[in-house]
Amino acid sequence: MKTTFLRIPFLLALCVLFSCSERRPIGRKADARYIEDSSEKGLVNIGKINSQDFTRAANKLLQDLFVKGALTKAPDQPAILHVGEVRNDTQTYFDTDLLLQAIKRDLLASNRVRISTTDGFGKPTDQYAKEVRASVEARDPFAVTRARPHFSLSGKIIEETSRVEKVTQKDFYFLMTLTEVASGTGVWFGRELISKQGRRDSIGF
Amino acid sequence: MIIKNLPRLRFALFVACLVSLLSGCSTNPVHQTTKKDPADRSSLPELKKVYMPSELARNINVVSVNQETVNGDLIQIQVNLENLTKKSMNLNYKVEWMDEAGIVINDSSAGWQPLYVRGAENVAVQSVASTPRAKNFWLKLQKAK
Repeated sequence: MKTTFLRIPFLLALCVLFSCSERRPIGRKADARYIEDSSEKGLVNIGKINSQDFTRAANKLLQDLFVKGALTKAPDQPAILHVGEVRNDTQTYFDTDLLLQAIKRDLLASNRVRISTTDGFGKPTDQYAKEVRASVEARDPFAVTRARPHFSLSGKIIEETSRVEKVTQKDFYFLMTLTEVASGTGVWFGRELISKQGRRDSIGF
Repeated sequence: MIIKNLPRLRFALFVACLVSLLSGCSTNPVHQTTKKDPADRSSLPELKKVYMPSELARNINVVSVNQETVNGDLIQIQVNLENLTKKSMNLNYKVEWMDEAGIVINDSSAGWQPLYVRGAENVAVQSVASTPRAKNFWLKLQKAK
């Protein structure tokens, strides 16, 4: 009888140990781990844009741009693209390069544009390259006027909040515009909406 | 008293062990679809499906894939999915693009994205390759948590 009751906790302990669930380190706080880029196991915050949201927005916006074929209308291929300002109109601070760098990388891979990192009224991406170009052009009286960007990409990110009882919904609008510099007209208007709803933040989606 | 209930106790213990083992072993395999022939440029390419027997494989059917060229030289695909059940489902999906040699192209489409499918609904998932080097794809589907 006594041995039967001794076996019970032993058997239960075996079940827990040899079941197929994930192994977790001992100790409540020792649970840090690496996750993949844009993993479905990443944190989901209702109130802010997470890394997987930037990747998703960049991907969807680019796909729309490619499908609309706006880049193929430039007379010279690949056309030069100036990447302008993307305004962050949300309640949290983040660097908009988190969105733009993914867009620039895939745009360049498409072979439809070359991206200018020295042109523009704002702070250029590469100040050193801009200064070198300026000095080269200043010393060469026969310098051919360099190619100017044919397109300019700009945009903004807007946040909208709705609340019903304890459930909150956050809508993040990623709005991008591609402008043809020579005519000053917009040739593509992209919009990607990422909505999150819930009571609390969570892990994974 | 305890001796009288010993068979019941053993049965309860057996059930507890079984539940513990089964819940620990619940798996969520990925359902994958690709073109049978990477060089196939037809509008309805033949597909190769790779999956383990699972709830997802029984409930979701990859009906077909439409394919066309956009932006001059980029492949666009539309994967048509069918929910074979009456229940709505939360899924995650991603499209990995590959070049001619089968090397996966590291672009922004390689992140998991949420997909909500209502009961008995047909849905279309679209993706555009970011580079003309892309010739084939892997569509990966998984049940969301």
